[in-house]
Amino acid sequence: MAEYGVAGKTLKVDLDVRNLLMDYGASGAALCFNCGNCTAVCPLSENGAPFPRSMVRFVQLGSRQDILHSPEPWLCYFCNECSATCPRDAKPGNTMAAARKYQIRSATIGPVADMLVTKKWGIALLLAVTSLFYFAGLYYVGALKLPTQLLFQAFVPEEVMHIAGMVAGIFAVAVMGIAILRVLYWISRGRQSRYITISKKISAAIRSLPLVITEVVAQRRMSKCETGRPRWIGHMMTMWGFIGLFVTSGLIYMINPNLTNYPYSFTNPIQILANVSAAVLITGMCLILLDRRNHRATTQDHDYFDWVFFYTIFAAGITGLVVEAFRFSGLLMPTFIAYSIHIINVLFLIAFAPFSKFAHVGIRPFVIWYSKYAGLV
Amino acid sequence: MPERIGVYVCWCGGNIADVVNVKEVAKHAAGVPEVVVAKDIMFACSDEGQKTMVDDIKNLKLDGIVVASCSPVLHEQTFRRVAERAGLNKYLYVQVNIREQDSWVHAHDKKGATEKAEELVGMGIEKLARATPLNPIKVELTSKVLVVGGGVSGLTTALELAREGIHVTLVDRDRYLGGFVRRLPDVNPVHRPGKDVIADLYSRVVSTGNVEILSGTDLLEVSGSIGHFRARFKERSGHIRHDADRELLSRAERECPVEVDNEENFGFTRRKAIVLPDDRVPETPYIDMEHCIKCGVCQRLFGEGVSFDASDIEFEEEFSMVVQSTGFQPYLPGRGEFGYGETRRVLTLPEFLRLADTSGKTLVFNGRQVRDVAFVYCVGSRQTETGGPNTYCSRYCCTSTLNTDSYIKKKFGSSINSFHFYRDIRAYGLYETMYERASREKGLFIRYDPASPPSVTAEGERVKLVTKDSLTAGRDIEVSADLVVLVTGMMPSEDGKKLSAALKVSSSKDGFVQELHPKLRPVETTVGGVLVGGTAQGPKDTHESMISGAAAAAKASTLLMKGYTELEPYVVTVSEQKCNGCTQCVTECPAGAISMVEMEGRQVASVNVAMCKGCGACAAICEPEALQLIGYTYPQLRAMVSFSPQPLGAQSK
Repeated sequence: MAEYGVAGKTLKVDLDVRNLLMDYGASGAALCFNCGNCTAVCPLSENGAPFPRSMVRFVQLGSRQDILHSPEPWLCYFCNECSATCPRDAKPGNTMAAARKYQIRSATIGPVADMLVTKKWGIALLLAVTSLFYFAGLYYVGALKLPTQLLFQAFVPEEVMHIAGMVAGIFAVAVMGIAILRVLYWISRGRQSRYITISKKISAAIRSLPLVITEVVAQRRMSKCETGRPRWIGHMMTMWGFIGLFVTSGLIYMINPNLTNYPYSFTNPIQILANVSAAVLITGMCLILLDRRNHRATTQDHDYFDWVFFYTIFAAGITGLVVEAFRFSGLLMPTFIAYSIHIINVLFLIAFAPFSKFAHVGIRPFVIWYSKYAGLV
Repeated sequence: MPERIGVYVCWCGGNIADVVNVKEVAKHAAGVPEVVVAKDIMFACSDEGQKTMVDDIKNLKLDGIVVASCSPVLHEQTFRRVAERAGLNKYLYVQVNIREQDSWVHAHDKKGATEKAEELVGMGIEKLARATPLNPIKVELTSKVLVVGGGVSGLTTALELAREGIHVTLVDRDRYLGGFVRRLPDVNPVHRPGKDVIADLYSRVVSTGNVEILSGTDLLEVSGSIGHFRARFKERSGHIRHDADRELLSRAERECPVEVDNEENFGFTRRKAIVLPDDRVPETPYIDMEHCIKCGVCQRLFGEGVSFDASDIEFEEEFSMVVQSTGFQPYLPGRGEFGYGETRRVLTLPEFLRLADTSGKTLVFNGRQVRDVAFVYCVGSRQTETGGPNTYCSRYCCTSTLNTDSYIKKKFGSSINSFHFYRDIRAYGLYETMYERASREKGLFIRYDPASPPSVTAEGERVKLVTKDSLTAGRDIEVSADLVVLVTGMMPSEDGKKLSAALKVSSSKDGFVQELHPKLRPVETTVGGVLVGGTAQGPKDTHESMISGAAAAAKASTLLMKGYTELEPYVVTVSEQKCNGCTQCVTECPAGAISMVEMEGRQVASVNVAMCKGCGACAAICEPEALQLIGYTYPQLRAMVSFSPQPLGAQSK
């Protein structure tokens, strides 16, 4: 039997931690009688890192250390094969998700993370903060006024755009960076006994990189999930659509900071890339939506945390398209309003990425790399 | 004595004939002078086989038959009826077992098996040739039953018997009925207080008008045998009128100056020297003379109704049957066992239940609110690994603990946290739902290995438990709790053991009353006329105890409705002339059936045939051969032992 947990230390039962995790979505864990069917059916569970039963047990015992010191939450892709097989309907998949949220919470700023996990009005508050921040910036440079011509520079002065983007971006990158380091640190401190010896370190670290690349590019582990292709294809399209849009936005601001000749025509390569990316993103997200609907009655159990992430990205894509449509139609006010919403939405998405499900983009590749390096997968 | 004997050797299909040459055996038997006819039959027990025997007995005027077939346990009754149908005395038949004792065990040696069969059959013929016609001993049974123990099982037995019109005397040492169940605050699966369940049962018992209830009565002595059990009782005085006015009683209780720990609640509450029934049955008050200081406060209220020097009443009665429903006693942990006796915060489950029942809206122990309760299972049960005496599983405890968990959460709110240190959850059958419910209510289950049971240590006002949890890869798990509850198993009660000893009832190796056969003869004991119900027989839950109690009633009424019972005539007779009065047989008799009586100025043995089991232990050691076991007389046994198969028939006569 694979050894797991912080070896050699007495595990002190902490019901407060358990209760928090139950609030975080692991309420089914109480029902678990530790039969281990979930681990047996999990297509991703491996000898070096067996899950989900081990995580369910740690949640039952409220072992903060063991949950934080485990890479398993990030090795799971929430296919919910375990929840479908569970004889007690304990939903181990939800427990894995809760453990991820708990790691995010512990590695970032707890109360902010709570806004996106347990506090249903949290998103309204965070959107309000983002809006306030945005309008305050406009007011500060004296640009808080209704536009008179259909020009983005007229809607929002570029310095506001740059500063707001920078602030949100730097905040997000800083929080995310610290979170990644903390998670890696915790994981490296746990379960020493099952890790490789020091001598292998550098070569193993390099040899582990290809796996991370295939993981990031094509989510190979996710494709092993048995709930099927639609979810994987939807996720791939969403990711690549999002990356496309991220790249085009960046390109525009880098090579054309003053937005001369903007908007581009439909034949402009950048515009083509942007439109194709948007189409891929929206299609991918619709596929995911469809897949979630198909599985709603059976196993998939998506909560507030999931939907906030989904809809803020979905909204970013949709509002982007709407802005484009209005602009080409020459509608001044609708374009302005849609644009304002789009910007606030994107700012929110960036600023609170480390607290939302977005955090997986940063944390998961590193944990997978470390797990490979440590010989767990 | 039979002189025209028929011998029938059964094939039992291939069971016997595949190994034993049955035709050869029959041919051999035919050579014995007394044998008129010897046949082999495919199935002796079949209709055709039986008809062959009946016809032979009638046509050939046989006066005895030997059937060589299976074990008498299986078909003795069948072939006795064959003899009876043909007009033969049913004891002039001998069954020889050539299946279990021959063909099945000697399949590798057909020749040897055949020779053994010939010898066994020959011995059977020798025995039958010296047999005499016998008649079963008939014992009249009056419709009077003594039920010992007024718990849930005894009450059920009394109720069911009384409904059949049988008169029952129900005796319990306790002043209030209901035994262990009375103190349960929540009885699964009805989820009512135990004393309500008991009160219900009691009122039904009373309404039959057929049950004499002797509560607060000691059973001093019991002896005798089926049809004639004599019991001597001592009814302890309550020192106050049974029908005393309730309001006056409450006043007397208020004014009584003596206060002592209430044993009903293990001292979690106090009581006065005058004790009120307080929802218990029968609703009779009593004065506890052990603590009463005779101050006279109650005497002023009740006058003649109170009498400090009222004496106990002793009396005797006779019964035709006895039902032992003496229940169990909870295992009492030794000092230091899981911290018991060393830390006040370690209780047993029965104690904890009284604490919970007598607490108000919050669970308070020792002045502090209790939030975290840790249950340690299998204390005093399944002690195989720990070397303790109780190796059995007490069955009721898992479910009872799960029920208790749910009860305290219902009563004190979900702020109570429960920890279950268990070995296996044996919540069998529908009780599985209790386990699921306890899980749903966030009870935390920690599975310990009996080789390293949880350590329990006091830590200030709390208790620390540490154990290796096999669900967490054997890691050490630490739990801090306000209270530790030891889930104690069931043990045979001391009173029950005394009663069993008095009645000569056998016990299992665990000390509980042994049933005659767990499947074929449940609730019957090794002593005719003595039945067992409830946990006196072994650990059971409330529901199972009631089933067992009802089964005992059903078994008793099958005999009592007939009005008599027939005992096998295989009992010992005494030749008073030969008896030298050595009394060895009295010591040897396991049934206590032999006593010494005076006859013509000397002591001679006397046998109570109703108690005699026919084991022959006395006859085997009786030097002057004064004791003869009917059906197995000295001449019969000698002839059998000295029988030799060669040459044919040479030994007979």
